[in-house]
Amino acid sequence: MRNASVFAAINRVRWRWRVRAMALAITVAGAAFAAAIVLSSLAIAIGVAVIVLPLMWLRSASLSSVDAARLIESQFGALDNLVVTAAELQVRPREIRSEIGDEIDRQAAERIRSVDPNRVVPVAPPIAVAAAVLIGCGLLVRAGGGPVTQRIDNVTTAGTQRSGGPPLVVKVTPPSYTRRNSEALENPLQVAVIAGSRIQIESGGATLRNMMATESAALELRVGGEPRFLSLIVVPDTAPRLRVVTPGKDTAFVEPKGRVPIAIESRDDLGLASLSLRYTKASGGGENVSFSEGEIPLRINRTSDQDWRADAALSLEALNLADGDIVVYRAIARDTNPSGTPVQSEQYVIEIGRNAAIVDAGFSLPSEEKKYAISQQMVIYKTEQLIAARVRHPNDWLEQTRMIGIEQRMVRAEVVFLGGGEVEDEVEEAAKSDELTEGRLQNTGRAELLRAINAMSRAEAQLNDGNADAALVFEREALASLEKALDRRRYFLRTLPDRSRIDASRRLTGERKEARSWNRDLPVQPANTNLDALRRVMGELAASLANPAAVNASLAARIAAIDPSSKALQGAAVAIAAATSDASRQEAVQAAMKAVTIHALNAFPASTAVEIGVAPLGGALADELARRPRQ
Amino acid sequence: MSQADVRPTLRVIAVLIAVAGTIDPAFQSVDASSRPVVAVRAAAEIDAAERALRSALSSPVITRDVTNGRLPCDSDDDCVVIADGSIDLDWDQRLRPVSLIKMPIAGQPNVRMRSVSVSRGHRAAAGTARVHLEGRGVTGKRTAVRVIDRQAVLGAVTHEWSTGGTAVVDVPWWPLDTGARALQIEAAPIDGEITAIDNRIDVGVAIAASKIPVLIFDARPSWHSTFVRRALEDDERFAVGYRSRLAPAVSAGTAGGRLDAATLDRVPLVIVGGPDALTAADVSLIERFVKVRGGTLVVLPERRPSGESARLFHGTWTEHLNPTPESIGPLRATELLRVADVSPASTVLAASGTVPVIVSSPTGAGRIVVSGAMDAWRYRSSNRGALALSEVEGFDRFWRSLAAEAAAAGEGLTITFANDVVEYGARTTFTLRDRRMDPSITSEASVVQRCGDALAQPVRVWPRGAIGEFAGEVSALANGTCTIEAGIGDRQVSASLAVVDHASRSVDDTLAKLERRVRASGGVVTNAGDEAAIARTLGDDPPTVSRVVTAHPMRRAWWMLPFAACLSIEWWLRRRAGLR
Repeated sequence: MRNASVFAAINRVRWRWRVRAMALAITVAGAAFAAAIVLSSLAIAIGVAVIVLPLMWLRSASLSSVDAARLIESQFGALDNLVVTAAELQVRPREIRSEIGDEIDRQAAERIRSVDPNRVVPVAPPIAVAAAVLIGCGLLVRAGGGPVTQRIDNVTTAGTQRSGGPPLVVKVTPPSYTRRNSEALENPLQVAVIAGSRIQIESGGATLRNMMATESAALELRVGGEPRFLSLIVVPDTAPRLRVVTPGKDTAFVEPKGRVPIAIESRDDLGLASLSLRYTKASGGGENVSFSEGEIPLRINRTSDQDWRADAALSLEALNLADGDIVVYRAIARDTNPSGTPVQSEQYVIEIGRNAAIVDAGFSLPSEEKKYAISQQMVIYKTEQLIAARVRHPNDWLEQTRMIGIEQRMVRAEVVFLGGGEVEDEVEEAAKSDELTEGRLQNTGRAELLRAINAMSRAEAQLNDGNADAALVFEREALASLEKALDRRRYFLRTLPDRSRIDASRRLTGERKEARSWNRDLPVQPANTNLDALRRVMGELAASLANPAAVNASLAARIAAIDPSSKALQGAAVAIAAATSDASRQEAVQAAMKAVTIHALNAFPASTAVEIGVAPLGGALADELARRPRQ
Repeated sequence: MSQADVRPTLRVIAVLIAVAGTIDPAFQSVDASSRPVVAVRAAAEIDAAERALRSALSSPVITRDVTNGRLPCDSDDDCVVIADGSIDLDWDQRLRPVSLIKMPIAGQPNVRMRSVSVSRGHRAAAGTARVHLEGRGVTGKRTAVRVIDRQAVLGAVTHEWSTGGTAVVDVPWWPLDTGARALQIEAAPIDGEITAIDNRIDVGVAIAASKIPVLIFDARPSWHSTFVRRALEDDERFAVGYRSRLAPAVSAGTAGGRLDAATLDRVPLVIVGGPDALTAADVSLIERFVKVRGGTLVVLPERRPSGESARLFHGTWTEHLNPTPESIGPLRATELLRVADVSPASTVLAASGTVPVIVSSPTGAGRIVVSGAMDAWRYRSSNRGALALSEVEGFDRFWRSLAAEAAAAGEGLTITFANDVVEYGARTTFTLRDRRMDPSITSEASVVQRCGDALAQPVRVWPRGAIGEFAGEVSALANGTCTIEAGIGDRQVSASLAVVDHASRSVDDTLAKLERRVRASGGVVTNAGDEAAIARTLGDDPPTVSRVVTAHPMRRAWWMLPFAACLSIEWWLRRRAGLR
């Protein structure tokens, strides 16, 4: 090299040029990357950057020695083209006199000392810009995958829900017996919990609500001055389902021999706690029936906490049964809910005796009147036993009386069904019966049956309230009326539809002293507050079609508050609260209108289309047509 | 003329043009040429018909739009309305007849809403809108019919077309507020429907809030009326007065339940059970209630008509017993009274097959409804508020709906509007009727109108001929509601009119109404494509009225051309002459 210092300077300029080109390429590629990640995805953004970077680099990275020399000359005007000449002579040698060449080299070397390559090609600013772009791209990538627009939407969504304040945190602690873990939900719109769960709603470290979930509710909360909506759906802990699968019917045996296989299945939504099979043996007949109770051991197969199956073999010999005895058995299940009531299955009867009409072993039913009377006697017996054992039930007295109440209800239902349906009052009953055309005898029998049913209702009510002593009085009244009805008739007539006529000859033949006024109790009309709320909400929904800003959490809360137990309204409220764009708000409002309308139409008494014709001259036309004979 | 003369001349001309344009003089002349025909646009698309009309007529044709529901023609204009039924209009008496070109909607698929009837509204109950639809080319498609009140959707039902033709759809809806409401009943257009102008009808309905008084009178104890009474008592819309004659001197009932003239003057509806036990005096009083008072009587027999009450039964009624219950409209019964010769003026509410069983017969000023489903009370169901209209509707629901309609028709003092919903600024007539058990010889009415927040304005009414009957006209001066309050003697009544910006009516009804008005005016009615018929009619009566025409000649844009030309030429000439 003829002049090392000159070319050293040129090479330094060329190197700095490459660095600057790289920085610019990085800057442009980074900008393309940022644009792509905003509009599409990370993968596409990387691909764009990968393509743009080498393109930009290849476009501007190379700088020849001569160009570098020209660049130097352009920045430092006092070089008089010496550096360029020197570079040209180096790159493209030609014949020149040596002293000229040496002089050129000498002067170029002397003057190149004043050249600062940093001034020729400054690299600090491009590097700084490239670094800033790289940092920005890194932040964008760190913001998460997916297009940034989506992230913006998500931020906006989250902002809508927690605009004006910190996030809303809902802590749900289920009841301990459910063995479920507590959970914390951030900014939920709807929370479904089991009844009895503890709900704690917090925001910004402050507790907004702390409550026990007993019924569904629509909550409007104020967080940072902004309304927030929370739909709380309380799902009750349902009672276990219980069924006696085998034999699943009443049976009868001529002799008390053999074993009766009994299979039971039970399911619960959360978990079962116990399953048992109890029996009541009735011995004797008429008014001298004696009862004894016991429990049949079960082999329980716990398929899961929620699904149990059990089987037992009831030994007839072990029960010391005699001819005419009856065994009534039923299964009882309890779930893990400590405040849940036990569930009893259908009761089935095993009758022993030669009088049973036997088709084949185990396929017969006892006579009906005996069945009902015995059932009521059983209820009385159990009540008496319970009263006698009162001191042994200090904590579960109410539960025990309610168990008997269940049995009383079942007996009543059987008798009502036998009588032909539900009975509201004497007039209603008279409309359905035919005894008015058949004479007073049937009327009396029917009246006794009515009294028995009435007494059973009262007894059940007392038992449900834990008043076993008062219930016993009504139970005995019911038995007495039942026996009177049974004594007068050997069979019950089902209600037969027939022509009904008022028998005028029977009018005014009753005892006047028994005549009394009777006012029918009109049904109490429910308060119209719910209907007014429906109207208000519907008006707001209609107005919000023109004013999307009105579609907010407050409106959602008002919709849900109409009936928190309505899934449709709750769902509509959640959609309203979650709507973020005008299109979604319109959709949510339309859906809410539909839900409110369905709810309203269920609440209002319905009507039917009736057109009676109200033409103003219709009467005159009809009168004229009637006056003139038809031809 | 030398150049030196031309230049000032051009300049003067330009100045004169500018001055004339500023002054803008008007010139009047008498034009005895052909009077133009006014084509009124009362259809969505009239271009083809208008072109045909222009080519058929020798007179010029100018087109105008309907404004405020009024015909935009002067009294002496030749006016041709081109209508498809989507726009309603009216006009006063004119010197010249109006002609009509009907543009019926053809093509398919199309769903047309032919008519809508809405049940009486009450704040405490849902209503039903019965919609008659006609479909062409709609097999397998679904039409959603909605009831809307100011953008609030109050009811919706979807009808699936198994074939084309007609369909009746009952849409349950609930009231948003009391007073006059304008309900939009619309059928959502199906895919590819050729037009939607016949998919909507606006109806006005008055939502009442007060209880409806009803008197139930049992000439003897009756199961039929007992359960009808229970159905009404359990509904908060009704204030039920009751009286049952248990024995010749013994009766039981409510304090206000008496069969006397004072009570019958007050109640709009009387339900009679055990009509076979009515005395002659009872029947005479009840007849007077119906024929003179204009009330509604519902008769609930339990046997074939006989005795004094037989004259309440129009036609020949025979008893028919079924072994099993039969559907009689929404009721079910085994013991039936069927009528053979129902009057053409009567309305059959329910039938056994084709034989009427429940019939409403207008009588005098009122009407008598006879229910021949004698033991329907045995088979009453307890559907309450159910949405499933496909199932048999309940006993209670039927009787409540019938009582509401019957009571509304039997009111003593009523205001009836020609249109229940009108457009803002439009006028509508109303009829005020006062009916009493003992009509007075003279009757004096006072009527005021309140629209929006405006002060009450008195409304002049004119007697219509019958005692106690008056007619008047009101203008809808405010959007929302206009209320008419009237008083005759000791009675007061108010009725509201729903006022909207634009009211959609049945295209069939609108076209029929226009046709009636046009024919009454002496005009010609023709279908699109037969515009020559109108041309012949108008050609037979050539225009003879001269017109004074005013012209403004300076109101023409082309005056700029000579103005600019004069100045430009003048400038060019000066420059040629070397002048500045």
